[in-house]
Amino acid sequence: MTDTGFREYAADRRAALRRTAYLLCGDWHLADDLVQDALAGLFVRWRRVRAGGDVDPYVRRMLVNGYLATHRRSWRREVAVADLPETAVAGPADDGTRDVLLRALARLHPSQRAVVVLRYWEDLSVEQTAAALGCSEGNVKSQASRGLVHLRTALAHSGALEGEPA
Amino acid sequence: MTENEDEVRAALAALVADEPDLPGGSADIEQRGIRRRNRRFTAIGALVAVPLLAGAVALAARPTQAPTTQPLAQPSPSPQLVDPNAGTQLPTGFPLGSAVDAVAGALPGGVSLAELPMDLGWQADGSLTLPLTGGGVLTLTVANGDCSVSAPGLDAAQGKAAADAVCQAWRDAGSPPVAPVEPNPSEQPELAAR
Repeated sequence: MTDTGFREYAADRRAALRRTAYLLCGDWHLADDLVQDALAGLFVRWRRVRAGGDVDPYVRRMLVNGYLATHRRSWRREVAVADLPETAVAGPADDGTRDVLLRALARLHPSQRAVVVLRYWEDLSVEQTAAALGCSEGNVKSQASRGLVHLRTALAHSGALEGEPA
Repeated sequence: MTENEDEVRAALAALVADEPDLPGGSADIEQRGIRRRNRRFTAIGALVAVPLLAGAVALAARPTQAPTTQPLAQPSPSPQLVDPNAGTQLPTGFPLGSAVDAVAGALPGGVSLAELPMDLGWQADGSLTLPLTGGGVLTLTVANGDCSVSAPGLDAAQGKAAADAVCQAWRDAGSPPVAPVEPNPSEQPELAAR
């Protein structure tokens, strides 16, 4: 029982959705869960959503809603902490920037983090981001601005940016 | 601000650079979607089925037969309804009104009945005494199927004509006993017996 086109769409978009989900939640396993949930929900409404034309905004919204829902649950798996645990093996290109950025993202409010990811990773417009989050465009602008400053400051302090003090 | 945005974009890209391999394929997502759809259909089915089942149970719990409606009143099963008082518990007899009307209509000119007394009634021997306007009384008797009328001022023919009129009225009433017959005590209604 395969709905026409769903498998192709999922195969094509799954990796990109997974990266977005990872930037939202900071955990590849949880990102996989979020993507699977969003795509499974899309599968249920596939014909109607595809008939509407634009599938990506629908999936993106489901993904963001799923991420925000995990933060509303008391048993959520991601806990914002000041210091990240030591990793057993650092990535080959990891010069500390990664940890700094993950920490900075974790300190953002979930909705602010979603705004930053959608605006600067997905390259959505303010209007599209507002639609995905179900909030006003003014809210998106202010959240994006504050989130950007927060991340920029974190990166500057880490010395990851050229010419910035470590 | 654009420079800041580019820096953040680059940093985000660096974060996902070490992306692990995707687990599984799209088929498992489809299976998950199918299970979710089935759960949805099950939930919708349950939402529909529960009220239907509740209705069916309520119908099954109802009494199988509606209470039979009893007729409020039915006529007494009297084969020949000739007594105007039939169907009641009143004592039957030859109505005084019928007898008085019959005899008043048969009286010749110059003889008429006066105002009737309040205690007018049949005597035990089947006679009825009626006052006349000119004084005196008219005696009417119905006994053993015969009628007779006697009064001062009435000759035999006039008396017979009046008696025939009374007998005709008596027969029209069904030839009942002249004096009212009380119902048998066993047939009296419970309330009357008390």
